[in-house]
Amino acid sequence: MTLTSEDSMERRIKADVGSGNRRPGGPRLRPMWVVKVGLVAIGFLVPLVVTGPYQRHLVVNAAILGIFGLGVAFLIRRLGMVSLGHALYFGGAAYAFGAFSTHGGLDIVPALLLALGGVVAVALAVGSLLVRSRGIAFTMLTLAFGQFVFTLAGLTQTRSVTGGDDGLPVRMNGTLLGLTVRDFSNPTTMWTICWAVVTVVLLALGLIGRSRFGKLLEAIRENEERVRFNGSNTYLPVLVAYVVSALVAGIAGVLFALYNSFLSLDVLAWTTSGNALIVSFIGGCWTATGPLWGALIYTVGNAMLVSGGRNEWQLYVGVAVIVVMVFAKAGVVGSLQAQWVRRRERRQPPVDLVRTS
Amino acid sequence: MNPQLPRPQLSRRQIIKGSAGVLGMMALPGLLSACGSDDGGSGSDGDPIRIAVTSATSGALAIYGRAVLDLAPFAAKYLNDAGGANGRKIELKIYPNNGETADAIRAVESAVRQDGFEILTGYFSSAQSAAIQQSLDRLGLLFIDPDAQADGLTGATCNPLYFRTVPSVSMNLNTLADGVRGLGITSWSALCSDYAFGHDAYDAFKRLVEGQPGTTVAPGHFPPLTHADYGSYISKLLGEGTKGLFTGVAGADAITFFKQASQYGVLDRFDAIVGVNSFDVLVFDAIGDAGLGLYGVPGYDPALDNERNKKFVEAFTKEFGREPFYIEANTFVALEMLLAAVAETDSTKPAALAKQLTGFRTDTIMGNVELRAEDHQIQRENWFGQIVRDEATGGIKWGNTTAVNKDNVATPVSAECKM
Amino acid sequence: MAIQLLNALAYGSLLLILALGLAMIFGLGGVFNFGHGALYMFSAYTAYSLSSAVSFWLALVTVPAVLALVGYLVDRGAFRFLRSRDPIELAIITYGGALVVENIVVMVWGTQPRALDAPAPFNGSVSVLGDPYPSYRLFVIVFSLAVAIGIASWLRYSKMGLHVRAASRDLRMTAVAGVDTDRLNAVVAAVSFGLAGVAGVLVAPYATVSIDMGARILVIALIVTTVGGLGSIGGAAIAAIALGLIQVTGDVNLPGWSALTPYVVMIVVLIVHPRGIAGRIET
Repeated sequence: MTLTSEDSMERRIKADVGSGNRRPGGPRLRPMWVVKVGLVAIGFLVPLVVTGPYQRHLVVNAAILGIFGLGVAFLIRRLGMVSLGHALYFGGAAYAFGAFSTHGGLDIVPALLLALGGVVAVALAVGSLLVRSRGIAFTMLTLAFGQFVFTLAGLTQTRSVTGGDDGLPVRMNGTLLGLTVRDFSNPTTMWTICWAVVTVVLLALGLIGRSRFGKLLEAIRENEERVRFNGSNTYLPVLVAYVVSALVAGIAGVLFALYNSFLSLDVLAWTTSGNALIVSFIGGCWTATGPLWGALIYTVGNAMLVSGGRNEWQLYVGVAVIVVMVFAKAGVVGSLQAQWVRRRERRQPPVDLVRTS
Repeated sequence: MNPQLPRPQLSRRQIIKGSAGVLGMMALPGLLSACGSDDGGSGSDGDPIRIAVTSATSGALAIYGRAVLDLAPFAAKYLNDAGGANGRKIELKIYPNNGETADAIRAVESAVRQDGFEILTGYFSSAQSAAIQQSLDRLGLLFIDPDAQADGLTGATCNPLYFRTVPSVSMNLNTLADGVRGLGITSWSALCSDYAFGHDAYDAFKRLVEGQPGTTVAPGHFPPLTHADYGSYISKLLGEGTKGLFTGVAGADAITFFKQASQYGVLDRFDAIVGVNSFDVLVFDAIGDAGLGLYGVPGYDPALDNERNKKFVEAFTKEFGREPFYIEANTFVALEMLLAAVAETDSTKPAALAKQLTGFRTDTIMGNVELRAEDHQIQRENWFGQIVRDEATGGIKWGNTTAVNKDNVATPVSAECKM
Repeated sequence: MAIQLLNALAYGSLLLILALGLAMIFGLGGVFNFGHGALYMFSAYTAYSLSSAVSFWLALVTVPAVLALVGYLVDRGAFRFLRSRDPIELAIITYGGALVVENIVVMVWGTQPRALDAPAPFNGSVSVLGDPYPSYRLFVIVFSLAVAIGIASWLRYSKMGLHVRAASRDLRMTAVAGVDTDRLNAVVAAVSFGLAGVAGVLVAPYATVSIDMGARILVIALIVTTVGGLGSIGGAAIAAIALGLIQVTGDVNLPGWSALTPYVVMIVVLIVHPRGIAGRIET
């Protein structure tokens, strides 16, 4: 058994969101594209609304965490597989980028490409070992691989590369799109970069989801045996999906390194994977943008609630996770969309939605 | 089976069009970066001395972080009541973090960018301090660090806006070696936690102690951090037949190790056990009698015989019901030095203060101390001591403290430090 | 060498008690309890306070009993309504619970680590083949094994144990056969929570009581449970003792790298034998 969304509410969300709000009879899809392009454009103008430098810093953090969440949520949404080890790719890409720049003296662009190439290679190797397992066993294996690398990075024997507990200050050389280290640490510039990456990632993941390949993944999620029975190989598609999800997490990790120019071991810890999972579930794994909203809620909530004397953040997160998972497991965005869909249905019952009781 | 709506496939042309649009937008960052403006709160002279204090309130560092959070408001009030700096008063704001470096950065960003603070102190791990150092120029922030001990902070990554009021790891080890020479023990075993600090401590101890003719240090044992069971290491230590034991384990690990060693009856087997940074007031209750007799570097001596110190210890004890320990004392020294620099320059701007603090000498509770001009590392005497019975409470405390001259504590300026 | 063997047994038997609790509640209720470590830590703090105020032996009796009651209530009040959920969802819910419990402990006890002396008459050391060995560790080994054997006999010889075993194989069929599986689930949750309580009390005089102790051992205990074969009790027992042995000998012979052993063991076992040692896995 894997994570599936059996109840009809979520099926409606998926049917609605996944298909881009499309009704049969194609022409009506155009307005939706206009709206989406408009939203993307508006996103670039966020710094005009969010004017405080600290608030800009927060939205940049939210965007990076959100991209990480998109990577983790992709596996959940398409395959029902929950990874608790994606810090391996987030932190791994960040450290690889840091090490190539600082120790290798490489320019930003080659360091970045090598880091992401490394993520793909490692994800292929690790993935080829673990994509056969499903459910809890998969989650535990990802946890073990993640903790393996986290522990390895903290060993004395690897300290000359990772900086161990003292962390790794990243020394960047050269430029990317004409931007230098100073620009990357500027939240306004970084927001623009992050938003562009968000757009690309959303588009790419959306296209994958809608392609034949995406259909195959969903078929595997719903009934793997039947897919095999139909003569399709299920090993390779799952592996590819795993690598895609790792790559997205790796991209977020490189952004993190660019923005902070400092890395410490906690970016590799399993709690980092856990945070990505939490924002995905809070926002909603079953929607395209849920993890982004989850990350925004998480980041802004953290900033608002952790000020003044004491720190009860963990308590709020714990309660939020329980409440969302028990009462609204479609997440905040998913639940809102379901509401909206329900209301619209009441006005104009769609004939083409398959209902089950 | 979950029946799905048939979804129209996207045509290749649509995909190409969409991708091209997005790529075009990626050129935007360059345009927008011009809009980003650095801000800095501009306070005119005569204003209060505004200091941001960030400190861990959860995670492994919280035990010390919370101590600093209690101390800071007390110290500010104490110093303000004593007149501040030419009448200027300290104004504090607390920014908690969860102990991870990313969250410490968030706290600092919030202090500087949201509330316009220009001076930072608090409680920091070495990784946090190194991370914050990266942003000092950009944020225009003056950072006085009373806690992080990694050598590199006033070495490879030293920064014109960074000052440190705690001795580095190497300075503490110099102090320890100076004290150990007086113990007359010629064969040592060693056990240090398996992380940067533990290995540095072992290497330095071996080098410093073996400098004395006829003294040997056995190969070190390095259990992982946060180890739950030291049994196997303890058995090994017992087999080595040495007279002295050197330990480089900290915090909760130190408690675990000494508790278990005492259960094995190890502690009586050695003539002397020394530890570096293993113990402070906050873990004394937990360690109990297992710590008795241990030699080490207390980092501070509340019994120091100068007026400033006596008054501070008296007020502190009245407030908290115990004597201050090194982290609190170092934080207090940071505030004292800052106040003296403000009084000297009559400014609260980072640039002016940094200029004043460079090579600055002033009186503090730890006597006359100096922030060395070349690397901004505090130069002062340090202490070697032993854990003894506290007759007043029945617990344990630092005693038999001897001062080590600051020239014997000091390390040369790192060639890697370029400001 | 005898000492190292005993050390391995002591560490392994603590893992055993934790993994037993995890395996039982997963095997029957499908709850992959990420909150197990937090319960263990909470018990250790409670044991610390009770021992300081009254007596360690009182703590050893009452803390597991109270935890068992809590487990019973949590199952009746929460898990019961979530039975149809996927194990992963339950795992995430319990992870949220762990965060809450951790924060409550910080509110009550603060963040300082605590330590407890071994209780009389086990506060000294005995000679094992000429080397001193703490007698409290011997007590931990004997007591843990006794508890484990007790649980195993309960499962094997009592009627309720039979029902538990049957329900772990096929919950629906067992219910059809007329067994009150709701009640069975609640009892198993109680036993599982109680075992976390036992481990927490036992560890208090053995290692340091600290906030992160639960999160630290949780990953290892989860690994033991998974390696043993999810939901399998015999497998968990073998895995716990084996991991204790590997860890302790690794510490001495491969310093540094030995920290990697639990993860390597798990990866190798699960890849060679995806169903774990005992080979029973339903997910």
